[in-house]
This record gives sequence, structure tokens and C-alpha cells, in this order.
Amino acid sequence: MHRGVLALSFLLLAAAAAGAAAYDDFARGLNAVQRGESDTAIAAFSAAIAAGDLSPGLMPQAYRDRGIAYLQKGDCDPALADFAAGLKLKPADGDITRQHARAAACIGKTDIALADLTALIDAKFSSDIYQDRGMLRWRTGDFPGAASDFAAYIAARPWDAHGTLWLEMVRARAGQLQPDVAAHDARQYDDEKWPAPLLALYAGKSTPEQALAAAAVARDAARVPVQQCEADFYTGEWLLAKPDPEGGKALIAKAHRECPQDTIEYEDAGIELARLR
Amino acid sequence: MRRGVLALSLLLLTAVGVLAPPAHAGDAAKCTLRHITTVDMGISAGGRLTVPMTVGGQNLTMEVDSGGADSALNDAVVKTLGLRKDDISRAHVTMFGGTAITGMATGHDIMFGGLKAAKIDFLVIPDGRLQPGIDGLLAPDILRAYDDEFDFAAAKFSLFSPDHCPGAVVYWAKDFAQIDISLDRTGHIGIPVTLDGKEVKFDVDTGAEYTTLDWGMAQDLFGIDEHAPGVTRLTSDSGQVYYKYTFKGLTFGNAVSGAVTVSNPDILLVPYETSRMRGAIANVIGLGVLRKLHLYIAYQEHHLFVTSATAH
Repeated sequence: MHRGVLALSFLLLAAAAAGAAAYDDFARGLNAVQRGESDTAIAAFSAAIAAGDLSPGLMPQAYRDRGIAYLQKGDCDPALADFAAGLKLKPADGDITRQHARAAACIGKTDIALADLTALIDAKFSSDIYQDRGMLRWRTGDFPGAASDFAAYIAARPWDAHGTLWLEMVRARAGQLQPDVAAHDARQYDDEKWPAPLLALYAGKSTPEQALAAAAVARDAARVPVQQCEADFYTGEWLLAKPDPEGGKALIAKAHRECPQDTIEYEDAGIELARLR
Repeated sequence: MRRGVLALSLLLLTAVGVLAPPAHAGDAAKCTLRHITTVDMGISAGGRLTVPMTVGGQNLTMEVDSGGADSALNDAVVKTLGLRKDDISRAHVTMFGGTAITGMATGHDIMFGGLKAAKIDFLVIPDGRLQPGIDGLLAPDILRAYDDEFDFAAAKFSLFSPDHCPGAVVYWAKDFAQIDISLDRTGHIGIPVTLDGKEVKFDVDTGAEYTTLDWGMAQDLFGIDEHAPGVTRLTSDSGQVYYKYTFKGLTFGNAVSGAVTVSNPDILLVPYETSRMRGAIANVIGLGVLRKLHLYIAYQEHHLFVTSATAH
């Protein structure tokens, strides 16, 4: 069917309710945004919002998820507008506020993003927000602040190996890296699994060359490009902290050139390169 | 969560409304469907189904998880509420994915819509295991004490008394599918559905976003392999492998009992190496499909009633 995916079969045919098309569009949008099909999601949510008879309880979510679809495309201005519209309908909603922060950060409104995230932390929305704010603080060059946030994040999520990698990375950039502490932090993770070679680098147990070489080995070949992207970025940051600005810049530039564009490292390599210019 | 100790919590009913009986009811007085409470139903940014609940005066956002076992609270919430956490490590309770649940806490002064309870026991989930903004799980230990209605199009979740005439529940539409359900000891809802013409057993799991089918069953029943047209191989960040395939249709019910078909459902095909589960236990109907429906789960009658989400 054109508008809905539901087809009643056999003898049953329910009458379409008021708002049926709006809800069908909304549900289609939800599935599309989960699949990363942002253009389809934007069109579906736009139709649901414009219909005027979507359940009022779903309107904030329609704005939120259309905003997420815009963010997926990198269209941050309309995303921010949608999150603002969602917050108007559902003030202080944690999910929407978090997305509002992302959109604000995307268009350089860092103060707004930091205020959003700090409000969420104060409201104890989720320990994930420490990670969001830590990454944002890294982007603004507030390395001690980022280290403080990642320490809080890892205290709540000690099993997150990539979170621990960020903790050691921002500690290094803040001049706070202690290899013995990093070695202790890394002990709980599987030595055989990625990103163990990068944690070993920050723990002083391997060299940049060893970390970069380890990235080429993976049980699933499809993981190799992602591992190499991560190795370039996190080794580059380690070198910048040494300080080895030339060596670090070369690896960060490689990460920005070769990382898959949907990775955090691709985006952050671009930010680091801009900072190094 | 998939496994756990069963601790059925009894809610004290303080508000009971009455809805008009369905058209099929022969004896209106006897078959009156008793509405207990309705709350707003939300969808988190991660696609989870949420409802509001108050515990100890604090407003919480709970995920409705029909695929869970026991209701639970985040450790951070337990700390904020100042609840005592009892050690249940010897009970060997494990979340889906292997996380051990080692604590239980008793929440007080619980309010859920018009319902009130003096206390309920909750498992304590380590922080960070639920999606951001979700404070806990509302699981079958509570859900199956009632009939549960999921009205996705109106964004409402309702509870009804299970004391009614068999089959006399669908008040919102004339036509519906009625499906026999099997319940395991933790309250998971198993149903037969017809997927591209073949009958397959699935669990109805409102705590899952995606609909999943065991990869071995996909191969055996549908002749799907890695190289079949339309099969996409996916790898998670942790290296787990899935396959995605769009089937033609997933039908609830049949021509005799009434049928509703969801067209073109995207289904993740999950190898044993990823799920560590073999056969139908890995088959789950998640929200991607369920949100296209209007559901009424009559646990005690052992029936699931289904219409399209927008049927009148």
C-alpha cells in the first residue's frame, strides 16, 4: 500500500479511523529513522505532522524523530528547530533535550549544548550524558573538564572499553595520563578484543607502531577499516599529547581521510584538524 | 531480560472504571469489560515503549517489556530513592546479554495511572544497561496480573480486569484476529503466526525494537542463505553478525479466527553464534511490527487480540 504497511486480509476490513493516515505515516517514519533512511523518515513525519490529526501524545515524538532524521543527514538547523518544537510541546523531555544539545553542538552553539547537557546531568537523566558532555568538552578544548566527565561516565559504565579509551585519551590531552592507572583501568577488558591494543598504548605497554599494526587484524574482515580508523585517530591523539604535533597531525589527517563517515572518529578528526590549523 | 526469579507483585486496585461491553458480548452484565487504568505511552529516542510510574514520590519512566520476567529499577534510581538493596546473587538472575542481576529492592508508594500499591519488589539493574532516560522495566510479573491493551495510534497503554467473558474484549473495532497464546513460567507470550505462508512460533516482545528469526529456521523453512536476493549482512560494533531480510507478510490469526497481516516486515535473521539460542526461542516480534497493530493481551484467557493500529 502507498501510505500504510498494514493490509488487513481475508474477511476482515476495519474502517479507517480519523488519524489513520497520520498514524501510518508516523509508524512508517519510526521504522525509517531506525533504519537510517532519513529522507523517507523526514517525508513520513512531515506528512504525519501536517495531517493535523495525529494523536497529541505522539506529536513531540514526531518532531523529535524528524529532527533525528535531519541530524542523520547533517541538516542541523532544521533538526534544532524540530527539537525546539518538540520541547515546546513536552518541556524538559530528556530525550528531546539530549537531541537538542546534539543539534546545537552541530551548528556551533556550544553554550546551548553544554547548558542542555548540564541540565540533564543535574536531572540525573542518564550516565550517558557524561559521555556526551565529555566529548563536547573535548571538542571545545576543555580537556580537564572532559576527563572529569569521562571519569563519571566510566564509574557508571565500567564495561565500556571505548569509553575507557576516551577517558585515557582526554586525560592525556589534559596532561593527566598516568600509564599505571590506565593499565589498571584496562585490566578488566579482554586482551584479545579490540580496542585492547589502543588501551595498551595509553597504558605504556605498546608503541604507536604496534597499535597501528594490530588494527589490521580482525576475525571479521569487515571490521578492519573501522579498527584502522580508530587506530589512526586515537594514536594520533596520543602523539599530540606527547607532544608530537607532526606525527599526530599526520594520523589525524589520515583518520579524517579514511574513516567511514558515520563514525565519531571521522567527525572528531575533522574537528581536531581544524584546531591544528 | 530473559531469565529471572518470579516475584509476582500484587497491585492494590483503587480506581476501576467501566467500558461498554464489546458487540459480541451475549450477556452485557456478565461480560462487562472492567477498565482499571490508562496511562500515556511514549516512545524513547531509542525506540523503546515507555510509560510513567511514580515510586516513592519520584516520577520514573518505565519500559514496558513483555519479553522480560520481573520488573526492575536502575541502580541509580534505587540509590536516589534511598532503597535498601538486598543481595540475590545466589539466585543467578541474568539479563539478556549475560549481565548478572545481584540485587533486589522494595519500592514504596507506587502509583501507576489510577493504581496504587504500598510496595513492590524490583530487581536492580546495573546502571547503563537500559537505554538513556529509562529508569526501569515493567515486566510480566506485573503485566500478567491484568489484561493489557496497547493502543499505539492513540499512544495509550491500558489495564483491564481479566474477569470477563472469553473473547469479549475488543471494544474498539468490529473485526479482529484472535490468537491462542502460550505462556512460559516467566510470562513470555508465544504465538503462532504465518510468515510468507509458513507457520512459525514467535514471542511477542514489547521490549525489543526488531523482529528476529533464528537463522537456522530461515534457512530450513524459507531456503534463505547468505547469498539469497534481498539478504543483507550486518555486523554490530561488537562484531556480531546478523542478516536482514524483508518478508512478504506476517499474518496474525487465520481466516477462521480473523486475520491481520503486516506487509513487508523487515526481520533480522540471527545466527546461533550471535543469539546463543537455537530454534524458536530466538524468534521475537518486536516493536517495528507491533506498533502497526492495536493489541489486547488477555493473559489469563490465553488469547491475544489484534487489529490494525488505526482500526475502528
